[in-house]
Amino acid sequence: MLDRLILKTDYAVSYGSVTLKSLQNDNIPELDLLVRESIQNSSDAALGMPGQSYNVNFTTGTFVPADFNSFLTDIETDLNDRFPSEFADFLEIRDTGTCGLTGCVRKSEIKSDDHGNFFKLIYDTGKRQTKANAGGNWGFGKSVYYRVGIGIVIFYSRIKTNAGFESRLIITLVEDEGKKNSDGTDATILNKIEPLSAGKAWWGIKEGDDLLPLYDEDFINAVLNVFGLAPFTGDKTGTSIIIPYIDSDKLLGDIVPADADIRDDIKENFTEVWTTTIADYLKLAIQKWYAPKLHNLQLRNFSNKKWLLATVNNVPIKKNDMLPFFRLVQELYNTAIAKTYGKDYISELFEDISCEPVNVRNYFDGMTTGYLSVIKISTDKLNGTQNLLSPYDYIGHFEADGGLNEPIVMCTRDPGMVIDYPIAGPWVKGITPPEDQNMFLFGFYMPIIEKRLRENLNVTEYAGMEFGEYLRRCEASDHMGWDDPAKMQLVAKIQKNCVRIIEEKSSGDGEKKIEATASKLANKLGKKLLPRIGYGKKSNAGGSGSGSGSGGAKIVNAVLDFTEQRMFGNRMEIDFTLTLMHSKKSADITVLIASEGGGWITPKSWQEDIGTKFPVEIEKLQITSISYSSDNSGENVDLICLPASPECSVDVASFSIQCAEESKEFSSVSVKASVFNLKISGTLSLFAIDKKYQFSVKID
Amino acid sequence: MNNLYFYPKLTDALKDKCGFTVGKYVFTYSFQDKSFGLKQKGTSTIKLSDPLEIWKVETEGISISKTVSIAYPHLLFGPDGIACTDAAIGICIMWTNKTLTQTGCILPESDIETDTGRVCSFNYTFDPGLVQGDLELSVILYLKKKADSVQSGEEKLNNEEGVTIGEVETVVLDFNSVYMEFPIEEYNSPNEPLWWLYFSQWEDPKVDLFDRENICLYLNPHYAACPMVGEEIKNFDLLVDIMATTYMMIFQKINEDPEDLKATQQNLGLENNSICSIMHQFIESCPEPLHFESQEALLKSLHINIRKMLEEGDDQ
Repeated sequence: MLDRLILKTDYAVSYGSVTLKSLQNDNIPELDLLVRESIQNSSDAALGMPGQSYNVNFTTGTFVPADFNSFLTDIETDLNDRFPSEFADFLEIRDTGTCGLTGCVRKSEIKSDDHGNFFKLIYDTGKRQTKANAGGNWGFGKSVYYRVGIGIVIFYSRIKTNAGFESRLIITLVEDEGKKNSDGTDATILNKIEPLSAGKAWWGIKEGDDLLPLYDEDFINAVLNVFGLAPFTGDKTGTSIIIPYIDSDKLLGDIVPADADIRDDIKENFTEVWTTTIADYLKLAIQKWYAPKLHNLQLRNFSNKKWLLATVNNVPIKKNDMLPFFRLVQELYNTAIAKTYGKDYISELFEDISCEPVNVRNYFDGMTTGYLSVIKISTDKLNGTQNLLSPYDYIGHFEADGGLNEPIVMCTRDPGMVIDYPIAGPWVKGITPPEDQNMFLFGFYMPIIEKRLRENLNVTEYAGMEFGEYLRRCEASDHMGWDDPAKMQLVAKIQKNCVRIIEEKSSGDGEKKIEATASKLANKLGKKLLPRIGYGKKSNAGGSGSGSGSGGAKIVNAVLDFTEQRMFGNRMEIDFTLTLMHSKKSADITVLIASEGGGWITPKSWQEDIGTKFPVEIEKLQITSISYSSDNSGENVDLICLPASPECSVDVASFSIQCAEESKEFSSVSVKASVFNLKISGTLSLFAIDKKYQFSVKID
Repeated sequence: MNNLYFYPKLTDALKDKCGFTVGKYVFTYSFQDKSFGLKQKGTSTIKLSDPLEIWKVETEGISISKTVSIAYPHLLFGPDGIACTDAAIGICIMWTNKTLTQTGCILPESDIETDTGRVCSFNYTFDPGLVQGDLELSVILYLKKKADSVQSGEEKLNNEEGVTIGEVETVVLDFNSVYMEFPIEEYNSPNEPLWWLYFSQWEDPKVDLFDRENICLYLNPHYAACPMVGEEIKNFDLLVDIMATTYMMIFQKINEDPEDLKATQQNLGLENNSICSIMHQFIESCPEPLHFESQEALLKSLHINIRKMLEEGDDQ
């Protein structure tokens, strides 16, 4: 018997019911989710391991419930009551060539930045994947293991340690802690022993506060023997996940929806070939989701990606075993991914595949985000002489069989799992379906995952991030799609461009062919044979510059500087300095209004042409300092001109504010000096009758 | 001259604070129902060129697209901004064509505002004939909806709808080509030859302009052999032949008065853009000497030079 640990209800505890719902997907069959998640976990565990491939085997079989239940302290009797039959079904998923459930096993050894494979898989929920290029992200994927059976899962792993090899086995139970029978009675396993159970329990070896995995290989073999499974031997490392008590009928019954709009003969064929046993459907699901990497030996020719050796009951799914549609998916993937490595892959099977860069501006240095391979293909070319169902049946879109042959655009990230086969939504919205019912239109987008988003991206949290990592963050826990976060539109733009490229391809040969015209030769011949415009004109530079006396450089003899402006509602105060130079002894400062056509309107022309009140008027002119040639130090004064008393003066100068002819608004300032080089400082106060206008001042 | 406003306008500092990102304009044109991109050179004054050498704004028009985004649009509002808290700011592109004295306003095709920013996308097509010569494009902010109540500290702000409260960017497109066009007309007819040349009654080729009024090469696309231009020149060899013969005939016509040919060769008293002036420039720019000693030598040297000139790569 093993020691057990039951998680009790407590503050901030992770409940079994939450874990079971955390995968955020109730739309696709459990077996599909299981294949997606388990191979993705294996793919992640193969990162950094030697070899060009990794192996995942699915084993189905039966076991004797009583033999297994005997290991489960405190729930043995309950399980025996629940499963009195002689045999029950199990499913094992085993990967090899992977690192196994490495990492710490004791709470005290946990590092905050990475809990390690063992702890994350056995104890954590919702702990994000930290490994670069990993498939997983949310840490919820493993919850699928608990959904396939009754919630009991055996995790067995062999890892390489500094001292050699180490085996680990632990049994876990996750259940809905509030589960009720139809009569309202408690349906849980754990509440009977721990009334406040949180729906999670583990069986292993207790050591202080920790529940450790079983290391004893004899003990481990005894558990494996119940299922007729062999231990890892030699230098093999990997992980085996054994799910006892699977309900095969229910799992297979969920695959073709009961209310699916599907012809009887198609349903009959599909169920007969693919859903008679769990093993049959696994063979299809593996092709469906991992076609890109399944037995894809070409990958090593143009990438550093590993290919997948998937077996079901130890029978490998080889390239030749794949359905033609999934072979096409692989060829589309190869064509696109090769381009992301700067290489060309020409499909010998499907020579009509074309590939285009998918460009988006402003997010990267260089516009290309990835490559889209596209094919328009007939049923005959796809299936050859084989009599097969429509591709839509094999990808679970039974409703699309016999329809318009909606285009499909697939995509993937590093792990090579097809994210989805959308026949609706942004990847395909706007693509015209083929006119011929025997034609299909398929696309596959492969991002350049190593490419980095710009460092100076406006949305700083993604600046400098690898594109693959960005896409990983765009996935929900079921990995069934990419959705930009609110501040970004990168995926949306990629989708639009994919649609545009496919639409262009499908509506013609994809190239913008210009019909040649004779008249357009005029530009070309002009550029090649004729001189540039302006040829032969005499340059004006270096000319005499003579002409009227005023044609030379204009002498500046009055300078008006604004030193500060202050605004108060419709009022503005402008501090200014006016300097008269050379022999100039008088100046007029006039307020002007900008016209829509780009010129300026003087108060006089406003009065003449428009006739309404001039939009700006001078409320006050205040002179605070005066200096002139013989007295550069300046003299502080306090002279004020107001509409009621528009003039003021000192012995060297007089000042006034004035109205334009036939106008009542004061709109100009007149300065008259009796000395040379007069310099005054002061404040001009303006009032805008209509403040929307742009205005300026001119000095004469 | 200082431009003054009675209300605060968008300053560079506020622009930076708000996180304005003004995307580069994308210029395209449509030809035979397909869209083609134009290359641009320059920043405040932009010269456009068409790698396919098809586009002229007069005949193809021009389409523009641009994105303007503001990371923190809320900073444009309130006492330290340019609009009252309850007001709404619009973003548009004002366009002005000085040559035809036309102006207008382009509103965004999409204007999306979320909690994390605002993005305006502009797409607009100027149909052929609408603009000519130049086009000024100013991205401006204006008061789209005034605030019903002006809050304390916001009195100085403009609160009148339609008024410009900021200029984000202004560029001027200069459509005036630096290149002349060779006077060619397309004439599709089964009753006419593949090509022919038209000369008007020249009064003085040293003065008469080198234009369609005085010289015109007619090409008849009814025939498959007709030289044409698409991605590349179709029937190139025949085009070289036609152009060499055309230049030959122009020289012959100039030589009706041998003094005119001499003036052409020596650049004596030639008016700008006159027939003789353009032909003088042609003589000068030929990579190999033209042989005027005999008609057959001239035609041969024209062939050689024109082929070389047409085969030369584009340097622009």
